[in-house]
Amino acid sequence: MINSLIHPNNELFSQFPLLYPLICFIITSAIVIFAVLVLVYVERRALALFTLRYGPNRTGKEGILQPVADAIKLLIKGDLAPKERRKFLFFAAPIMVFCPVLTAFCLVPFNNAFLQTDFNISLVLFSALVSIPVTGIFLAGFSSNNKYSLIGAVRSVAQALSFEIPMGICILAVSFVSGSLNINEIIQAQSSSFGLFGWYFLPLFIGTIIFFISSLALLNRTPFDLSEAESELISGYNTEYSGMKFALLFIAEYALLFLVSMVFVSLFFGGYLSPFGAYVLPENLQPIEQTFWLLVKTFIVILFIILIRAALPRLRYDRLLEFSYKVLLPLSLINLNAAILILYFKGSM
Amino acid sequence: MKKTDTELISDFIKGVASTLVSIFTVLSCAFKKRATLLYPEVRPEIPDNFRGKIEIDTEKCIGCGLCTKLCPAFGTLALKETKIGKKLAIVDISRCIFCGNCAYNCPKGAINLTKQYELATDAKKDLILNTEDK
Repeated sequence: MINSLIHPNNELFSQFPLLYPLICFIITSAIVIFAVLVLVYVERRALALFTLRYGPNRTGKEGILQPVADAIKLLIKGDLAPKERRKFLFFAAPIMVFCPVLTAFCLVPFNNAFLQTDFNISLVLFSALVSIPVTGIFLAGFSSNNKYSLIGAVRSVAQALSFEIPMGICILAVSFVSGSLNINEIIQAQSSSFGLFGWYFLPLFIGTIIFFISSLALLNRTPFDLSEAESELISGYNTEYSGMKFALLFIAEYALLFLVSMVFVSLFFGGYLSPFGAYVLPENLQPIEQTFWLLVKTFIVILFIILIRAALPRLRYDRLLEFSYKVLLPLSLINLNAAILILYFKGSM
Repeated sequence: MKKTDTELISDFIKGVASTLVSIFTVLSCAFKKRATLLYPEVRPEIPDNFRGKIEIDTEKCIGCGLCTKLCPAFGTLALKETKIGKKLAIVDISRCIFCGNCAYNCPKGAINLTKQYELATDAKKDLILNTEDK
């Protein structure tokens, strides 16, 4: 397995094969934590922008220190827990929600030169890693010894399961058209001289929408957030959590948002590719430009997700599941047919 | 009654259309003027007939007790004896409901409701006005 770890052509890295993955992990963790802080602030300001308010603008210049204030508040609060909880599960559930998300960040390529991993099945691995937080959420609700948390957790699991089916079929369609399950190869398959028009959101338009809606459901975000709706179930599965454990669940939710947006952009909007087709910067600096494009596109997708939170009401729970099975699943199969037709006319079949 | 296929499709299209309309409406709100004020740098405009904090003019007050009898929030207004024997009205702002009944009915026009609305203090006795002897 050590032989399959990638390292740039450097003597130091060939001598210590685990050094490059370690550096990648440290950089990625730093990016994730920084991104979560930025996202907490951006979400509140963007939500206020769309609802004719100002949002937090007092702490620090224009409210930039607000996530720091939130973090300090969460950390100094006492770590209370119900007496009749299941101790080990209560402790382990936030870890189980956060760690797969952090692991899955190694799968998304930030640029073409410095890849973190080069698995041939990275899309399947992504799908698997995104399913583990669902079990973590269920354990969080189950071990709280609170019937409302249990209801929230069970709803969350049912919703995640039913929306993963159309998502998986959309992933299948993308892998048909691109010919591989490796995210980096999928991005390279979208590169063409047409730039923007060579990306997969044009031929697989229905698939883009279905993947987007399914990812909203996996993230437990409005309009699918009945399992953590504040007015319905107090706070759903994380009612009994406080202090650091709550902070971990909170960070996991925003990190998952960032991750799923990046994968969505990589699959359908060309990942780190430039929309003009060619790159603006010279050859040496292209990785920086690629990372820049990826982050810009991810940011636009996240803003759109926040816009949807501001605009749409919550779906009733049975209608939510009905929507997944009766609308999204047939449409994703139609999308799969479209992908097969594309393959046929491209001459690959 | 089971819905026909065309009805189902038209329901779906109407649903998609209404979702897109709400998304565009909220998106257009990003470019409109904010509905909230950056208080306390920007204060709201107070209209002319605003009923704020009560001021009782001790020169004009004759101590008739009409305001005390007409106040709907019992205990807000009361009469006190000054050193020279004259009766004056005192008011407890923490109980006042700012209805303006006392100002409307005062025979001498001694009660006036000002435009002041920032009445928070940290000692409850600050809210009982006109208790000092003049």
